[in-house]
Amino acid sequence: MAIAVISNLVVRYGTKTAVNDLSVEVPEGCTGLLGPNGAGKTTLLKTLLGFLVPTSGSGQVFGLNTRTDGLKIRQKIGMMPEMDCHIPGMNAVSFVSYAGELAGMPASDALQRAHEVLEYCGLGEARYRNVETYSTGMKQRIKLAQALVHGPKLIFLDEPTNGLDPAGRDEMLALVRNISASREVNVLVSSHLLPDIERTCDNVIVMRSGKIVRQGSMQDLRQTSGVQVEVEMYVETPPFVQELERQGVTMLNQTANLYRFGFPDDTKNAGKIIFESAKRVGGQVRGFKPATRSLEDIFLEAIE
Amino acid sequence: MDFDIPPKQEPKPQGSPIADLSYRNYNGELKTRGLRWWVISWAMMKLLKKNVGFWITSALVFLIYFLNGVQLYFTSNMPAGMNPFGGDEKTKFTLTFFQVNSGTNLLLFIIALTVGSGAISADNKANALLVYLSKPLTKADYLLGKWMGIFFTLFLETFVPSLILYLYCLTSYLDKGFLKNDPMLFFKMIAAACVPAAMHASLLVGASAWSKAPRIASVFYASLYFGSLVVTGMVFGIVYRGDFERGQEVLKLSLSGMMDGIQQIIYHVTIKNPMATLAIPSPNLIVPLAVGLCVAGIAAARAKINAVEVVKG
Amino acid sequence: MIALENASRWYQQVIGINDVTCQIPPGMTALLGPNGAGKSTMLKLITGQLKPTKGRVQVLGQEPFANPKVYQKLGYCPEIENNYDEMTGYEFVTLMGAMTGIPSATLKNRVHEVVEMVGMTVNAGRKIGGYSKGMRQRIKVAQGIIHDPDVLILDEPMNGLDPVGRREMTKVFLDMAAAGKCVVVSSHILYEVEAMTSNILLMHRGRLMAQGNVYHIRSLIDSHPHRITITTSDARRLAAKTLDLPYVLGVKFDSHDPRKLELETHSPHLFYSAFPDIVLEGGFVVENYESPDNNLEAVFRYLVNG
Repeated sequence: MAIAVISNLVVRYGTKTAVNDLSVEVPEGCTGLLGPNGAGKTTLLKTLLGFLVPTSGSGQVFGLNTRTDGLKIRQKIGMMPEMDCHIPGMNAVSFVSYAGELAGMPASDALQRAHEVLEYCGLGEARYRNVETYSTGMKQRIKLAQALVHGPKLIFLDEPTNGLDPAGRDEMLALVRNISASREVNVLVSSHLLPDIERTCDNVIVMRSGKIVRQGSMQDLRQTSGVQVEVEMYVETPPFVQELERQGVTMLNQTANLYRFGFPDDTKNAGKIIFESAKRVGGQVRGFKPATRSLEDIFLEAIE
Repeated sequence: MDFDIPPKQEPKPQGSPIADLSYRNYNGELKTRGLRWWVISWAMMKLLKKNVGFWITSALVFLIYFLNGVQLYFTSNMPAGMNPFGGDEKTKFTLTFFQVNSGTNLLLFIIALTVGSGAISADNKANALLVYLSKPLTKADYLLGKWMGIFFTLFLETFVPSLILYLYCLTSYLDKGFLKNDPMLFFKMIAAACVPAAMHASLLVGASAWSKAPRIASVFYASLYFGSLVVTGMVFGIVYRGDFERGQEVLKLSLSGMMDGIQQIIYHVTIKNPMATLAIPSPNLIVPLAVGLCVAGIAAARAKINAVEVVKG
Repeated sequence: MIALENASRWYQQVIGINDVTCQIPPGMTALLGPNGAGKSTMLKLITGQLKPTKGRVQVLGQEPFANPKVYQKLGYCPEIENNYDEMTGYEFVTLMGAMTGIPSATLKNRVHEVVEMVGMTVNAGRKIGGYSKGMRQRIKVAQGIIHDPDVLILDEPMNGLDPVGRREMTKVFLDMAAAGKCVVVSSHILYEVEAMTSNILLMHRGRLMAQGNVYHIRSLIDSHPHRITITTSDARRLAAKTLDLPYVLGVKFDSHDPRKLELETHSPHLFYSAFPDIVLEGGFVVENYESPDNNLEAVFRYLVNG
């Protein structure tokens, strides 16, 4: 079931057409929004938020019309912007409860909920300190908290792991995964870091030059045709490749000691063929797994 | 546009000894939009609590009112002619209130800068507008909230001490004709308190919206305020050669002069001091001018906020 | 090309880096570490913005602090935003190029060359104030490489670039490293770093934790035995067979997927040699066979978290 539907959207800024006849359905769950810079992602988000009056076409979010019900839509949406944004002079608790009050929560509810959300986002005692003293990781967390505080049904995350170190990135992605797994909130993530999207999203929308060029569930998109297997050898082993080719296996790709092979369609036990061939030529197999198309490949192919 | 959402019933929790602290959404009540701007105004005013400069200036304002009260006390028994205000019995009290309003105008300006220069510029600097505009708020709500924050602060700064003074006079000078001579004084007081509050609020939201930092907005507005004073003073000196009788209209064209002038119109008193008689200025010029400036300030703020992109490309 | 010898730098009481000794050879090296580890301090020392409070820092044989001779051969692409909003991209890169001493005869061509390398030919005529994040990043890289430096220091160079841009920029840096320049990349995006180089320099709390080839480092981390996950229809029987191998330390099953098993070993090489025989003799059908932690992220996690 789609939570947002855009139909035949046309948006022009003066003489420039940002988006021309765009139609998309945003599914439930966690969706990644990808596209090169200038693809129209920002325009899409602004339309969904009810900020843009399009030249023609319509948009619907949770059944509400984006042209007329912008305020009601924003009641149900939370936004985690990419840029740092905080209200000066406040600590995390005041900031998040202020955000809740701005969305219409009664003051006592806002405060209680602010604490709950900050706890969930992993901000402990630090929540009583002034926001200006926070590290990047903490700032990202309160940005997420202020987006969640009023209980939106959809949150937009714009580059949620910006500036985070690897540990922080893991935690943020786990948090996003948890939130969408709770099934109470739908998530739309916009990021240039494709592995982040791979880790958190169930669906993907790829945009280019104001149009949707690819859309689908992560599982479907990553299917390969035929039986493809990625094999990691200890070192580069050309005799191994030849041995496999002798048995009707084609080598599709190679990067140093990593190979991707295409097996005959009726292959049931690719592992056996791999182990036997390696043994025959004296090579050491370090791993193999069914190949999936990486999101990067899907992306690059989609925008060609 | 009413979206009161009644609270949903939460399902009864299971009887597990370990609490489920995983994420749950908020399904509680959401208030109407009607008073959303007040949240913004109140947040602005709360910021003042920690500002030492604000409390010191406020204390000075109260002090001036207090001193005027003392002066009233000492002069209440003097015959009319010796009244240092130069007014007669009838207008003595009204004149006092006008003088004290005028006298605190500079302090009010300082308080205005304290509360107002950061109003929108601090948000600009910290990109806080991204937060505001992603909530179910219109730009009008935001602007109203900021404007009311400044207005309300300044209004209270004038109204509260005036009220205290008024009550003092009411209890002490009823027999001296306090209420009788000017029954509308209470309402004049309220109106007069609104004047500098509204002007500062309107111009400051404009200055603040166009500045990237509170300091810049302060400098800009201060130059406007004092600059207008200097320019009108120069014109007064050069053209009218210090002749108060003919040139006082010019003096009323600076920002502070306008506030003074409109307050004088409200209180409807003439001031006689040794140098000249300051008649009630004609409202034809300064009232439209003041209103125009207010509108310009608000429009400038609105224009600038409209240009903010919530989602950057 | 870059050498630190017992270099320490502190800011009053706060330690930036603590007694670091290392040599960074030509080629691509990754500088990694959690926030606050001392990476920025180290970069500032190398680019000559700071002097070490103790010890020595040398770049191309000389101390870099306030040393124009070093600056001529050093390119730096910092993380911070630049604010030359009023200039066009061309003007900015030309200015930076002129400051490094490129003679004006060759400057113009070089500017065009470099702008093309970073993919900004179309947009370099516009003012920087109108640039997106990715465009600003590209211009920053352009000014860093315009004078063809021997040492290039990059701090989060891909920030704001879309996946296509990231690929293009990676190629530019790899080409420079292959040409013999010393390229140091500091980044938090580990999967990207992994695609560029296996040579790492890991900092933690101001100290140098590890230096060298990441796979070699992995093999030396004793406290975390190698984990290998296997997915097969007959997991328990296969697990029983692997227990015959003396260097298998433990086997774990997955509560959600009964076909998955994970085993630990201190001797991965021996295991990899012996495992195929077990599979072939037992007639197992193995679908998945991989080591989830033989990568940069795992090494990073083990070293930083202990």
